[in-house]
Formats: sequence, structure tokens, C-alpha cells
Amino acid sequence: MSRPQRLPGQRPLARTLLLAAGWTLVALLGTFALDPFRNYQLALVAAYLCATAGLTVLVGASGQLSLGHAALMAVGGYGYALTSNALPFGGVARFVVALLAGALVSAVVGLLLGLAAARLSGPYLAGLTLAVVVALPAVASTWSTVLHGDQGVQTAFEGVPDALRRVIALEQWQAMVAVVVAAVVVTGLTVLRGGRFGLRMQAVRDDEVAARLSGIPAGRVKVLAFTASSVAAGLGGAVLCFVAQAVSPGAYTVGFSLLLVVAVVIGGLGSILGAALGSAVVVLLPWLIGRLTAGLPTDAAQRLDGNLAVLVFGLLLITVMALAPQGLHGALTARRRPIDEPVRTEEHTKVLVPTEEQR
Amino acid sequence: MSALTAPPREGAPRLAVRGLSVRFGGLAALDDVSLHVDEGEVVGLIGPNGAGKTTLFNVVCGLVRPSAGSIAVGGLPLASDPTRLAARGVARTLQGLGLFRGLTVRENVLAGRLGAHDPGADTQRQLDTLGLAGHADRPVGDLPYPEQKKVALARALVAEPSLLLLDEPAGGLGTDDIAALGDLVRHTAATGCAVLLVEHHVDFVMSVCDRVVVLDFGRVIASGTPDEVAGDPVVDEAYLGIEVTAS
Repeated sequence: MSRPQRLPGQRPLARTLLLAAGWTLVALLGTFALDPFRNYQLALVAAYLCATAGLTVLVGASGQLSLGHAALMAVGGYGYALTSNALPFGGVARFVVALLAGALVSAVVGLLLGLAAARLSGPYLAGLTLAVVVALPAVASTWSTVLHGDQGVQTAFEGVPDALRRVIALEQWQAMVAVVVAAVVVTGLTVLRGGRFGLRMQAVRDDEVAARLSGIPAGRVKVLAFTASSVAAGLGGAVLCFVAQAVSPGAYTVGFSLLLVVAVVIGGLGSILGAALGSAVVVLLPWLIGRLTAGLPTDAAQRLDGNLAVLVFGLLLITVMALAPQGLHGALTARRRPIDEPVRTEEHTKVLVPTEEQR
Repeated sequence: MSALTAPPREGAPRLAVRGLSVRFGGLAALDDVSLHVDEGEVVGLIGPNGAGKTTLFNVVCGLVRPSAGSIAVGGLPLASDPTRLAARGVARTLQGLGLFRGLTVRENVLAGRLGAHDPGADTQRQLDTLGLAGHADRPVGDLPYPEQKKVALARALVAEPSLLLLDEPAGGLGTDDIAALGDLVRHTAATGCAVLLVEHHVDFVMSVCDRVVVLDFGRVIASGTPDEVAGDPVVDEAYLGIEVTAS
């Protein structure tokens, strides 16, 4: 049997893995050039990237809008924290097992939500996912013996492994771990989106009836897309818990959930590079604003703290949508893309029946 | 092997609809409709607006559940699930084109063949056949309407169906395009594919179809060759409001 042709937009797996390994190596080496605070910020960007990459594939490729991805991050965080605290051993093994547990729990929750999501669309799906994130504090309070209510769950400290302790600081270690997890998530999502499943997702997004008539099982595709996105968000939450050594419902509010959506829209819906840009904006913008307002009188700086960032996010969203509706990634690639010649009606061939040669 | 996935029975019509009825509340959209389409045959389904033509297609495709009746493809019952149609060799085009707007021409055609071993090669062949290869990597929305119609047809044909359902294929096309479409339909039927088409363009139906079935108010009011149907006074009455006088 001959080897099948590659599908449009599909890179060879080996090339994708090589590219991912190369960029990961660059990012890991980059941590040596950063101070501890910048490495902490890099770890946050990597953790957010897991969630935004999953969200951008879900919304951009499969057309399902989730306003509750913060809750799915929290699920991953709780899964990580509870497993980590229950394990009798420590070190990297504990981290890996707890991370996988976080992914598994978020996969189960994502699957259940996805089964409901497959029957909903538009505002109904947005409403369902929003309800999940709104319900999170109540869930944490109801099962307070396990989830410890508003206080959340503290996790055991995961320090730098002994072999590396002399070479790297804690923040750099955390950044490196976060970068590796984000690389795995991004690579997985890239492979998923580039192959047949990616085309199936986009077909379902554009016209569900036509997709089903083409033999694409729309319901299964939507459930799988939601589950994959949920696992990505859960891994982001687990990494965040690893960095902060705690998980609590207060960190995963409706506001944060909407911020994740803003990040993927600003970056460019459907683009994983755009999700990375959006995640960087979400982490760096409040910090930049904090730096700018630091020179103001204490009273004014305190009033602006937190509030100004929300205002700037709103203005940034409006500005990006007005100037570059495809987001930052779309604006960057549009400059490189040649302008296509329009197809003129008179040019199109009238010959529909195959010629002898074509037969 | 279940009855739904078994190979077709020899000699059985490609599509056999028996006593099909569909009710929407108090309205009978289809009432005891029976028809068949044989291998290599082109059958036209015509009738005034609201006659039940598209409803019949939707029932065959599993998009609407019938209240009575049966549908068989190749002599075997058809599952009421649109995603299984392609596996049974059934392809359908939609009235509103049903193209995937975010995808290129090539990806649109490819979507009709994703279950195959080498969908890329099959897609390229179909694009070449229909003269779409030059626009293959353009967004489908960039193409003029007749070309978009061709893309929808290419997506249906790429799976090499044994039963092709065309929902208003000539709608919105000019005279030259309709003539070319007629050639394509005849060529497709010549390969053994059974074609059932719903169409308002009566001249197109009469020139392309082997048989014509006329629906009115959900019932079959006439069927036969194009000449037989064209001379049927009941059809004139349904279409033109001409009263049939008793002879």
C-alpha cells in the first residue's frame, strides 16, 4: 500500500517534534539569562499558555466557546495538589505523577462537560461553562474537608533536584519545568490540529450538518476537542500550583476566565503562537502598569492597582479588534502573506466532464 | 457483519423508499411516498414549493425521522444517522452549498474523503477532474458562486458514491454552467452511480433525467419519463394552477 499524501497544513511528525525540541531548548537556555523574577514571570506565561493554547484550539478550530477555562485550570491544580500531598515519595517522581493525575482529573471533568457541550452551541455553551467557573467557590466550600474551602490546598514544596541545586535557582527550575510542560501541551495540540482531526474540527465549526453528511461524527469531534482543551488547561493549572505551591478558588475567578478569552482573542483566535503572545500580555501588562504607577503618590497608586490593568485590557482588546481583527498573530502574518489574485468569473472553466486524458 | 454495513444485494435498487410519511405536528410533509432509483439512473424529484422534496432528502439522510415507511440502499435498510451515509456510499449536496467557509477549496473537498487511506491523492484527482486545481489552495469564499457549486459537487463526488443526492444543483447557475452540470450528471450516472436530484429548473430536469417523480402536498402525483410527466395534466394543475377538466 502506497504512503498517503500529507494533508494541507500538516507537517511531518518528526519535523514538528524537532521544531518543538529546538524552541524548548532555546527557552530553557534563555532561563539562564533571566533574573529570578523574570523566570517567575516566564513560568506564569508557560502555565497560562497551556490553558490559552487549549482554549484557542477549542474556540478557533472547533468553534466551541468556553468561558470557564479557569475552572478547568483549577481542576488540574486541585488534582495535582491532592495527589502530590497523598504520595509517599517526593522529588521529580512525585511531580510527574501528580501532574499526570491533574491531567487525568481535568480530562474526566472535560469529558463530562464536553458531552453536555456537544449538544449546545453559542450563548448556551458559553452560559454552561460560565456557570462552572461561578460554581467553583461553592464546590470548594461544599467539599471543604477535601478542598479546604476558600483557603484552598497547600502542596509540599518541590525544590530544585539535588544534582542541579548548585547550578540553578528555584525560580529558574520552576520556569524550566513550566516551559517543558507547555512545550508538550503545545506540541500535542499542534499535532492534533494539523492532521485529519484538525480538519474535522474546522468542518464541524463551519457547518455541522454538512460535516455530518461528509461522514464526520460531529458530536464525537466536539467532545474530543473539549476534552483535549480541558487537559491542556488542567496541565496549566497543575503547573501554576507547582509554582505557587497552593491552589484556591480565589485564583480562578470569572474575571480570570474572561482574561484567558481576551488573551486568545488578542493573540489571534485559532493561533497557538497568538495564544503565547496573549499569555505574555496577560502576565506582563499588569506588571508594566504597576511599574508605571509606582511613581505616583501612594494613595493614587493603590487606587489604580488592579483596576487600571482591567481598563487597559479592555482598551487593548478594542484597539486590536479595530486595527487587526485577526489578532496580533494575524497582523504579523498578514504583512508577509502575498495578496492573492482574485478569481474572475469569466476565467472559470465550463468543462465539468473529465477529458479522455483525465479518465 | 450487521445488516447496516453488509454489501448491497445484487439486483436491488440503489435507493428504495417505501410508504414514507413524515408529520410535523398536524402537517403531513410526506404522505405514503414510494420511489426507487436504480444503478446508473438519474431521477428528478420536482414539485411546487413546500411539496416535500427537501424533506424527503432529509429523511433519506437521517436528518429527519419518518413517522412511517422504510428506506433501503442497495437492498439493505439505512440507519437514521447522517454520519454513516458516506460509509454506505451515499453523498449529498445541500441547497445552501454547505461549504466550510474557513477552509480552502482543497480542504473542503478533502473533508468528504477523510476516512480514506489516501484522501490527499483522491482529492487532487477530483480537483483536476472538475478543473478546480488552479484554485485549490484559495479560501473557498474567494471563488465565484458557480465555482463554489463545483466545490460542493467535488466534495460529494470525491467519495465515489454509489448514490448521489443533489439538492437544487442548478440553482443560481447560468445557461452554460447548467449545460455543463447536465453533462457531469450524465457522466456520473454512466459510471453506475444512481442520481436523485431535486430541482426547480424544469428544463434541466427534463433534459437530464431518465425518470421524473412529481410531489405535491407530500404525495406522489405523477411519475414516469420526462415526456410522460410533461404531458400529464395533473402536473400542469399542480405547477400552473390549470384546472383539469374531466374528459
